[in-house]
Amino acid sequence: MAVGTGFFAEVDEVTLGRARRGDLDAVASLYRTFATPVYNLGRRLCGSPEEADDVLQETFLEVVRSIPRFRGEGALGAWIRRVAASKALTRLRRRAGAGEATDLAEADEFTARDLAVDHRLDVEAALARLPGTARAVVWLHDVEGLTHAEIALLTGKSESFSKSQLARAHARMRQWLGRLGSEVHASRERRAVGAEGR
Amino acid sequence: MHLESEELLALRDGEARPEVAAHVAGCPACAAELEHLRAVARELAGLPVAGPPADRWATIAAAVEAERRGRRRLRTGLAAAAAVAVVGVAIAALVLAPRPGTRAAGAGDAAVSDLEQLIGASHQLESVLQGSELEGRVLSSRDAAWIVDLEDRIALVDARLAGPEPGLSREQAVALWLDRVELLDALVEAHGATANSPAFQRVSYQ
Repeated sequence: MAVGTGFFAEVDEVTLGRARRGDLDAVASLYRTFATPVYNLGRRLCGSPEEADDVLQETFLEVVRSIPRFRGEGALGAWIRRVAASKALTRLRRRAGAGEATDLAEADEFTARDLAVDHRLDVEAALARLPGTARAVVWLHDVEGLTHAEIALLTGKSESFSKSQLARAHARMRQWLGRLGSEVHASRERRAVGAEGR
Repeated sequence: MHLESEELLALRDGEARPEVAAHVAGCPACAAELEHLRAVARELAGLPVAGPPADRWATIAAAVEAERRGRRRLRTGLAAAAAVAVVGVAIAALVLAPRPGTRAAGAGDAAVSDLEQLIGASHQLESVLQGSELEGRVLSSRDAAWIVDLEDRIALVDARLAGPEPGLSREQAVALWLDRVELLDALVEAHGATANSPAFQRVSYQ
């Protein structure tokens, strides 16, 4: 279902080898390849451009520190994505430590805040409106294609926590979005037809 | 009776039990809900991709260089400390060397191991941090994030040092203590750097 967001670009072995040996030009090449997906991930998970910027910097500092230990098991982009997600989730945990609600408890299903939404949100606004951890689970699972087991490792929670956050987040977005489906299909088809006609 | 979101999501992701698919095949309401979930996923995947500011790499490269300088300085410091310790051991060996007719002193008692040096260096760096007046200062968001990141990583190292894994090998312990010393050194440098920056004001910590 999910197709990922640019983390699976190819990196040649020469560049990877130079980056492992600490060559900053090679790391700059990795940055050019992966900066946008890393920044986008930080933006979607944390919500603000400032925090996305911080996630980007922290991720590439970690890449420089840890790439000598990257053993090449799996794609480099998948590893960088794990680093970026970990940095973003650390920020969300920090918010939770400061008292911000970042996940969805069963008791939270219907709150006055949700019912106060008297207009239909679009998907982007609905995603941004979710609490941080729930938003992260939706993005990592539905867009980046991570399994619940992978998300559990990143969040330090269980697979069932990841599944329940995903279900509760979709239930919450369901309220905000109204029904997507046939009408979304129709609008996409209209856009596609319009594009072909131009 | 309709299916729960979790069951429909499992079906959407190809992980559902066969009876879930059978139910959806005969239930228009659940089929519509499943299509809604698929549509949301498609819409999410189609959202515009945000990219960083064009000049961002220069700042990150400067941060990488600064971190490397800090590590080089630390290694130099550790090497100097090791040299001092070796001199100390040599002096101790001379002082404690058995005189003719006396019982041999345990040379091992005076030996200073690399692990003990690292633990000592770690304690010294913690003393430096504790001796600094860090409360009541304002940090830029980036400095504050960097400091909290370092503190998180120190906590992870501490968790591994104190963790349930039985019997860390000496090499593992040395590697962890070296990590701890490097992180503490970076933390001292981060506090020092922020203390000297114009953004570092004595108003309130946020």
